Amino acid sequence: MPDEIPVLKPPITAPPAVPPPAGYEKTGFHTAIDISPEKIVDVVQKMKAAGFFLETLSPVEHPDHFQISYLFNRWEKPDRQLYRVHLPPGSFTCPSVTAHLGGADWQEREAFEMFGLHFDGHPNLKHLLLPEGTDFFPLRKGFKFEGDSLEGLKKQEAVQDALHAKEDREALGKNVKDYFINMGPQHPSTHGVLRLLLHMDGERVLNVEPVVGYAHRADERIGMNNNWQQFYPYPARVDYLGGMIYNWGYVGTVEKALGIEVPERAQYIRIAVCELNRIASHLLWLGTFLLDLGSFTPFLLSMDDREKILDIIERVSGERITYVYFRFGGLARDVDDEFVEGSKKFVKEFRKKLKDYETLITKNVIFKNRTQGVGIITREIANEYGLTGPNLRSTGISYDMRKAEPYGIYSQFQFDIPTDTAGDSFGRYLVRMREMEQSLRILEQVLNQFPKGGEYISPKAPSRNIKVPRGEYYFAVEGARGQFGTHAVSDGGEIPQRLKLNTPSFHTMSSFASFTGGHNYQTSDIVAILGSLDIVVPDMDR
Amino acid sequence: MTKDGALGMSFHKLNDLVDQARAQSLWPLTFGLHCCAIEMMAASASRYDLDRFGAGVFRPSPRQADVMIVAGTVSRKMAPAIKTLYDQMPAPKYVIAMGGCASAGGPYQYEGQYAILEGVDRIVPVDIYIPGCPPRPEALIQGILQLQEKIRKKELAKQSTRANA
Repeated sequence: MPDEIPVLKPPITAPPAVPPPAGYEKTGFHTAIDISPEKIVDVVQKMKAAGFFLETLSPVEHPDHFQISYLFNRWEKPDRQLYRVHLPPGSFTCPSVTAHLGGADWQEREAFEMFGLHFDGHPNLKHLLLPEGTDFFPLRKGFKFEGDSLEGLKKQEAVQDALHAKEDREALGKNVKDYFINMGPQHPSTHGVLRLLLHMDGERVLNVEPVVGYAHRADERIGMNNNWQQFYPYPARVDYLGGMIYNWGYVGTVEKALGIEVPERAQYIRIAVCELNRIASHLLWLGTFLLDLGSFTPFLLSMDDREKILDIIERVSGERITYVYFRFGGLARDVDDEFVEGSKKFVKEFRKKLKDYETLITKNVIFKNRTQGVGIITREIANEYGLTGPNLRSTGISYDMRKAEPYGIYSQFQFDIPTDTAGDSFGRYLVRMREMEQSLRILEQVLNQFPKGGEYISPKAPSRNIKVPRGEYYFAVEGARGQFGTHAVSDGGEIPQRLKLNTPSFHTMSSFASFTGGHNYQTSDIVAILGSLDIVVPDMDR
Repeated sequence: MTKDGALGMSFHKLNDLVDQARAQSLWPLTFGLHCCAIEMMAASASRYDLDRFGAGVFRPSPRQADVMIVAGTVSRKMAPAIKTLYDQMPAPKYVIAMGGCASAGGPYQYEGQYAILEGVDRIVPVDIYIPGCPPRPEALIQGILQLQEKIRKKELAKQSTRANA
C-alpha cells in the first residue's frame, strides 16, 4: 500500500513545524508532548490503563512532514493530553493502535483515506467515508478534484459491482445458512443515509457492519480552503439538529486562539439559544425514536413543541435550523424583550408538556419491552470508543463539557447532569428526558437574570483579515448528542492549516458493532437501538 | 366521436381527469439526505400538515411512490443509490430538488470539490427546484403546489435532461 501513495516533495527550506502548544487557557491542552512514531503504541497502552479515552486522532500536513495528533482525555478530572507523532520527512507510515484501542479503527481509516497515511498493522485499512476505489487524498494541501464528478461515479460503480460480485461468489462457494441484509442507505429508520450491513442467521442478527460516508460533504476541506470567517455557515450544517451549539464550538475555538473576551449580554444570549436548541434537538429525537418503534402520536406532539422553539430562535437568528448566528466575540445581532418574554412563556408551558410525555411514554409497557435491556453500552465500550453525551451518561458516567470544562458562563448556573446506570435504550431515553428538564432549569435562571443592556458583540471583535497566531488549539462544547470539538492548527495565516471537527455521532457509530453484534438481537431491535442513539448522519460523515 | 373516428374531446377530458387525480394524491418517497430532510419532516408534521395537499403519505418503498423529494446534498457515494431509487419508481414519476444543494450544490459547491454532485439533475430529470438552505416548510408546500400545477398543465420535465444529453 505505501508505494502507491504519491511522494510528498518537501520545499528546499522548510519552516519548522508549529511549536507544541502550552497552557490550557490559551490552547485547550493540559499537556502536549512530541513523540516519535514507534512510541505511540506504548503511549496508547499506558493511557488506556490510566483510564483515558481517545478524543480524536487528527493528522496535520506540514510543509516537510506529517504530524498525527492524538488527543486523550478522561472523565473523572479533565486532563487533555496531546501526543504529537512526527513522521520523518517522506514517510507516510505510522504503527496502528487499533489492536489496543477499538476506537482508533475508524479514525485511522479516515486518516488513511483523507491524507494517504498508512497505519502499519491495521486489520482493515480501506476507505471509510469516500467511495471504494477513490484514488485521491482530498485533505492534502492544495488538493483540487479534477475532472467530472459523473465520470468518477461510473468508475466507482464499476469498482463496487466488482467487489459485490466477488462477495457473492465467495458466499455461494461457502454454501452457508447465514446471509446478509442491506439496511439502507435509503431506509426510513436510519435517519438519513446510513447503511447497515446485517449479517443474519434467520431472524437473528449475528453481526452489524455500519457503512458510512453517504453524507460526506467535505466540511473539513472547505474549512481548509477558506479563511476563518468563511467557515461560519458550516458547523450548523454538520449537526443540523443542534446547530446553535456547533456554532459555539467553532467560534469558541477561534476566540480561544485570539483571546477575545465575549461581553456578558452575549454570554447570556448564547446559553439561552443553545439550551433552547438542545431541547428542540431532543424533541425531534423523541419523535423519530418513537416513530421507529411504531408510535406516531409522540412525533406529532413533539414536532409541535419543537416549532414553538424554532419560532423563538428564528426571531433572533433568522434561520429555522441551519443557524449562522455566532460571531467571533459575540453574536450577529441582538435580541429584543420579546425573545426573553417568549422564552419564559415557553419554559412555563413546556414544563407541563414534559409531564405529559412522561405519562404517555415512560410508563408505556410496549415501549418498555422494546427498550429495556436492549442495546446495552458498557463503560468499557464507552471508554474504548470515546463515547460522549447522553449515550455515555446512560452508563452512569457523569461527564458533560458544561461541567467538566465549563465554557461561557455555564459555571454561574445551577444544574445537574442526569445519569442512568442501565446503559440500555431505555436508559438513554430517560437521560435525554431529564436533560430537557435541566435545560429548562438553566433557561429559567438565564432568563430571570437576563441583563437589561450591554453589548451583544465585543467592540474589539475582529471582522476582516483575521490572522490566528501560529499554534494548535482545541475547544469543545457539549452538543445535543455529545462532545463537539474543533481541533484547529494555524500557521499564522488567514487560512486554517487544519480544521478537524470531532463529532459525537462518529464515535457512536464506530462503536455500534461492538454492542449490537452477538446478542441475538432481531432486526427490529437494531432499529430500536439505532433510534435510541440519536445520531445525525452528516455529524458522522461531515 | 369526431368524423375521423378519434375520441377527440372525450379522450382529452379523461386524461385531464386522470392528471387531476394524480396531482391531488402525490405520494412522496420517504427519503431524507441532509438538513432539508428535517424541514421535509416538519412540513409533514403537525403545524404544516402536508396531508392537506394530498402529499402526506410518505412511502418507504420507491415502488409505491410518485414523487421523489431530493432533500439535501447528493454525495458521490449516494448518487448511484438515488439513480437506482428513481429507476425503481413506477411512471409517471416526478422529482423535486429541495434546497440549494440538490439544485446546484449549494454551499458545498466550490471549484475542485470532490465529494458531491452539483445538483441532482445531473443524474435524474427534475421537475421543481426549491431554493433555500434549507427551504422553509412553506416553500416545500409551494413546490408541491407548483408540481400539481405542472401535472395538470402537462408541462413536466422531459426524460432527456443533462444526464442523458
